[in-house]
Amino acid sequence: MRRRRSVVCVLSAPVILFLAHPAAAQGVRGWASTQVRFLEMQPLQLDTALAGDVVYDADGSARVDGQLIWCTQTPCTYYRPVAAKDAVVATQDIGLTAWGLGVTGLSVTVLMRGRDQVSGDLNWPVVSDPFDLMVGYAELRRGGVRLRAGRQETPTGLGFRAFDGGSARYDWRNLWIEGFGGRSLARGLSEPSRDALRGIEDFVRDKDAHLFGGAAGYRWGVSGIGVRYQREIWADRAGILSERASADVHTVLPFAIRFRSSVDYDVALDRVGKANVTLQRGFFGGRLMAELEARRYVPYFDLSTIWGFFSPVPFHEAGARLNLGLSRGTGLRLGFAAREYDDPNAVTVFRPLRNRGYRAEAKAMWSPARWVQLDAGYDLDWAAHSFLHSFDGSVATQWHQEIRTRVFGTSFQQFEAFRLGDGRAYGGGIGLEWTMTDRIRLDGMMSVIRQSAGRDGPNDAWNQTRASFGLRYEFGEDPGLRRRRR
Amino acid sequence: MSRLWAGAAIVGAALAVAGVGGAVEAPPPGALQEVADSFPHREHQGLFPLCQGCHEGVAIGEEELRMPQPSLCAQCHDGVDRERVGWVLPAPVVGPLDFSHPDHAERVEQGGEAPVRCAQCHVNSSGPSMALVPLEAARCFDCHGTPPDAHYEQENQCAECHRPLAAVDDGDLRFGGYPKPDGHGGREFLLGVHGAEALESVNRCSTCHVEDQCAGCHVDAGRSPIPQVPRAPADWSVPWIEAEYPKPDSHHSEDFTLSHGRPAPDAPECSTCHTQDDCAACHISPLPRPAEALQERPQVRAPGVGLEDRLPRSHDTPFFLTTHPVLAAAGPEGCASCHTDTYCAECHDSPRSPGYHPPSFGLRHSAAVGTQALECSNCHNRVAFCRECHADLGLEANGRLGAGYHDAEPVWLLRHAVAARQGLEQCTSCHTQSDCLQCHSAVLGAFKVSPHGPDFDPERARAKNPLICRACHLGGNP
Repeated sequence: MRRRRSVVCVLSAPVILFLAHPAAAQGVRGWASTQVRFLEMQPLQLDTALAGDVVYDADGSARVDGQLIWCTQTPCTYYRPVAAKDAVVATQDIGLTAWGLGVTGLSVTVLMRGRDQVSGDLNWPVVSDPFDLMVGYAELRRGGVRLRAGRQETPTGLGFRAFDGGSARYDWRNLWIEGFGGRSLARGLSEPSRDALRGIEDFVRDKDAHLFGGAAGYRWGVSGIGVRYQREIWADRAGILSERASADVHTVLPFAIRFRSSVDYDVALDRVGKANVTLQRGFFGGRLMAELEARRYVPYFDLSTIWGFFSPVPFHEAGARLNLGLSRGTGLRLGFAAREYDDPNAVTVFRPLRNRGYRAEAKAMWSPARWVQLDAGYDLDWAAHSFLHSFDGSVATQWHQEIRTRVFGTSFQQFEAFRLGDGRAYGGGIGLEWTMTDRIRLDGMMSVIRQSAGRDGPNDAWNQTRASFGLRYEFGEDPGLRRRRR
Repeated sequence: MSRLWAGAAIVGAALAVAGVGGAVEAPPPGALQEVADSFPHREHQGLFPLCQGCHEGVAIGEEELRMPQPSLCAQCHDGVDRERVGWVLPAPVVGPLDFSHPDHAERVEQGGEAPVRCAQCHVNSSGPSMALVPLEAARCFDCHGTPPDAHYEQENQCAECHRPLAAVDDGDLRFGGYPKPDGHGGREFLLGVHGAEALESVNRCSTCHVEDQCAGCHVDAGRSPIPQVPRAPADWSVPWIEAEYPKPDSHHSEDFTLSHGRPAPDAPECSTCHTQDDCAACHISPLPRPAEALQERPQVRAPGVGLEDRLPRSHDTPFFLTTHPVLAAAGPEGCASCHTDTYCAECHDSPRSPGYHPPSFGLRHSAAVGTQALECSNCHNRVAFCRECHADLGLEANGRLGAGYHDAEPVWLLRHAVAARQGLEQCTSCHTQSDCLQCHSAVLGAFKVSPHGPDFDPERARAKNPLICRACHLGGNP
């Protein structure tokens, strides 16, 4: 009964918004998005194989039902596909900004999400939480001052972080400075860790954490630099969860080379985190765009888990990408990158693990007419932890100014993290977008992926059927959007 | 005789009005053509040898005495000796010249020059007496020494002689006959010259223009000095100036998209061509402060520039998707002027955006997790999203030390350290901390293997967060 009520609430929200009108002298702009998704997947289950069922090849490898297994102990164990699980999930998002609230410069921004699993036995991630206020703050702008209070989510050089609290920002000519602080929320979630992770993560303290810090930046011409420092501590000051800083800069160098760079630093453990340098240059009036990138990546774990002290090692990657635009919708894109991990300072027995990885991409786009677009691409990712190569293609057709369809196909092969056997899959699907009015858009998609007759991997492990239906409705004032859509 | 004269006069006037005066032999260069006179001045010159006889008010500035009264005509044309005439006083016509005969005469006198005779301006000096000629600026130039070509030069102070067009009778009909001064029109004139000159002396513009024409282009027509230009009477049909908005040089600079709001906090320059609608094409509401100073679209008569939202140059690269985080982090105000936080969340917050990843991404995401080109943890909580889903699909780690998921590597337990250091994120998407503590706990671990690398600073770590140290070194929940 509770589920049915929440479904009704979720799905009726757009109707309520459609009927709502802003009060006089007020302004509101927003959108509501309803998504209903279906997913059927093939779970795996660890099983044992009877000695009598194991067949040994001439080279000594063991198989059960054609699937390669490793028999280092008795009984042999392997993962086998079991009955498919499915789920139908509905999510309702509403985002809005309202202003004209009687105080000059005052506005309110809200983003909320309701979700419910309508049916099925596959547990959709986070669906047990029926409602999230993802963003909800009041903002006051006066001259160069901006004050915010409420739930905020900030995209920064340290990634996305959300908190309940306040922030103050001041812009003075080309300089800006910001300070913020409040109750910290778990990354990727809109709740404090104590609530969101209790029961599913070890060592979750029944305490809030506080996040605070500051940021500053300077911009000149098309260039800008920003630095940020933030610290997260337990509310009872029992310890620091994270203490980090970041710097980001972008500018244009001589010869019209765009330069972008970012780096973050773990102050708590005194080590450099991620870093990135990108050089980009256009040739032939921008038809040919070349990009060189060097980056360093190391995963970050805060100090609330033991993994923060496990000394993960970074990899360094260098890559180049080229994009050739021949005409509208027609072009070619090529990319290649190679990465190498730092010395893990760990002992391995037998043969060493691969220390390098490569990835490559090639994509061709062709638009023989304005109403049709063909894409084909190949991706390769080859590293110690996984291997993937895939072909993708699609034909997008604009049947009418408001209606677009897309037919796509895929084929891929992959090895997962140090797992025996490969998976080869192929599939395809169809998508539809219908812009009904300048404010209402419908979309739908259905795709089916099937594993081909597996050579070494488990049969049917990659089978998947996915479908989605979306309705997006924009409401309130938005003169710019109105003009764009004419 | 009078009828004959009257008929001839009517025909002559008709010909002159119809512009067929060309049928008459053209006058020699420099000579002035006699106009079709509505009054037979030449026939009356015997009676009235001096102009002041009938037009005595002209010299003294008395409008009532400017023209002879009908009673004067009736003294002769009494219906007995002479046929009666239907002369009535013509309504005063307000012409483009703001000219006072007495003032002019006074100025001439003050200048020490000989008084100007009526005939000098009103009669062709080379023709018969009292043969009236049309008033033309050239007659002024004859005395003032200004070449006729210079009459329309831009720097002339028109208002010294002329009254505003809106105050001139039939000004809308006259407007079409005015030649376009040199330098009028063109990009430079539109962008800078005419504005500067209008600010210097708006009366100069008013000579030929009415406010309505300014408002045909200027969206801020209510701003000084435009309101000083008189409006056209309601029944006029002045040929409106077609709105044209050349792009100023400043708009071509590469950083204009980023910097255009800074030098104009009160938007005095923007407001000539732009309304708030233009700002709202890109900026989100509530609009930035300079935009608030602009006119709202419904209040404006001019079409305005009419901007459409376009991607800034920084966005217009094929690799923007992967490079935009640096821009956002270095200058978040740039993003915030067009995007709300909710916009970022449309992509950066799963599982709202099924279109963000390709449809088959769910099946083949493990390679992308290794590459981390998209930094998964920005949107996906490793525990609540990754591990929960993996567990539901049967990939939950159960802490077994025996063979399990990683069955492609022999003696995985002894070989996993390198993989863990290289791809710890992937490990944590299935394994819990308790799994690791089975071996790595300094108290309870089966092998008491230290997970710390050589660069690990235990004192520093303990100083920052001593609680979590207890998980391994004291055992149990910190």
